[in-house]
Amino acid sequence: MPTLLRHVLRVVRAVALDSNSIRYYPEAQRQTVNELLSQLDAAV
Amino acid sequence: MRCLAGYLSFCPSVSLRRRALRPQLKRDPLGSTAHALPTVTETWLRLDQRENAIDDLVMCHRFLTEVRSQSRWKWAIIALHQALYGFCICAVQGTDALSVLKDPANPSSRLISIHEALKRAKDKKYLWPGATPLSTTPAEDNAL
Repeated sequence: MPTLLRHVLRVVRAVALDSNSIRYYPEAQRQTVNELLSQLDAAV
Repeated sequence: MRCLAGYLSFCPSVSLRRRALRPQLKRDPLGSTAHALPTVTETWLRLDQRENAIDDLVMCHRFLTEVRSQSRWKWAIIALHQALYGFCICAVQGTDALSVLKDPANPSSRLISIHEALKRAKDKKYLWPGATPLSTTPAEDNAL
């Protein structure tokens, strides 16, 4: 399960952060997404 | 749950749900001069796709860190799946929220599937200018 989650998490990160739509997020949301993805990386 | 052009709306109970957009009309007692006014008693929670995707990440983290049973993996993957779906929609809808509906000409049609959203996230023509198309490895495709 952790391996599967790590793979999906990598795709979520790519879509959420590299798709450029994040450029249009409010700063607070951008920061929240970054922090949450880092926390999830550590938790898996 | 119903998706409307990138918005999600929730009503706490289907059995308590009334037709929100149709005023409840009652006939006044005969001879009365009072007018019946529509009343709105429901409480609705409205989230956009981005807020919803962020909330899914929060829930995924909570399942992983706060739930002790083995079922935490199931709930974590469900939440992460939803987050992926939401971020894909954000990435491919551009400035036209109707473009992510199965039938863009019909605002009440369903949202495209997660598979279609992922497919579009890999195609530059659906992305914001300058965006990097999604690229996945065979292992990631298998996990998805």
